[in-house]
Amino acid sequence: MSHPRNRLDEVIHSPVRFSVVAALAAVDRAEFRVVRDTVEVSDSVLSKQITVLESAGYVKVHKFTVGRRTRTSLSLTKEGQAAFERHVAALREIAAGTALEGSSVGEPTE
Amino acid sequence: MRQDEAVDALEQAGTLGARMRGQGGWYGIFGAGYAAMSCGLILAIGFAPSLSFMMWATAACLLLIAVLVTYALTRPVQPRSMGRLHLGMMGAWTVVYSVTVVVGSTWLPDVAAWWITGAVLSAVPPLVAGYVALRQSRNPR
Repeated sequence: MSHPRNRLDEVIHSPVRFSVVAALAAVDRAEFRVVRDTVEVSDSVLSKQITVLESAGYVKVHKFTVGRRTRTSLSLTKEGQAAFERHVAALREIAAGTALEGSSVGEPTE
Repeated sequence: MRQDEAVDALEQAGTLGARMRGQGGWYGIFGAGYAAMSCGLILAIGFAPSLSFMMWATAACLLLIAVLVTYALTRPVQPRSMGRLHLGMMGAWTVVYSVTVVVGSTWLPDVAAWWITGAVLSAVPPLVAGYVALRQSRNPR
């Protein structure tokens, strides 16, 4: 059986992207500014990470106008939701220590 | 990735998820507003002293619906499965409202108990949906 770390999603693994996906997984849709404030990053950092997630097909960006203002909201796609669930399942296995047999406990951080 | 890092990541995901869900409780306010509007509308139809009163009451309800829709559309977070919850609420409300108004207007126009019961029952679907959304928003996991 392969180590669960091999099942960690490369796109979601980055700390900011993981936070963004974790935040979006809890709701159907959220405005950009809410995600930015929740994850505690700047507009530019979030924009960059959203572009990566959108390219991977994990996040959908919606633009709509309310009055004179254009608002941007974000949602996870079905692929993004499934990828996050797989990623979390792998994290749970690692956290439970079930995959530590035969591997080094003090392995270096990836 | 080490075991402690995985634990930290899972905790962080839980915290972020709870923070986001917490912002979806607004549907509880929407449900309460809709329940009040529905009660008022049915009572106005049942006990309207004149046609003009009923028309004013209907106009006031339409205005309240417009306020509620605007409120819902301008919320920054849409709770998980809100579409399904809202559709279910609207479906149940439509059935109760239609039965109350059609049966009441046709066969029981002067039976106060019918209109009061119908008004109270019509408030149940939006209140239940609002309660479900509120519970969901306070769920830490």
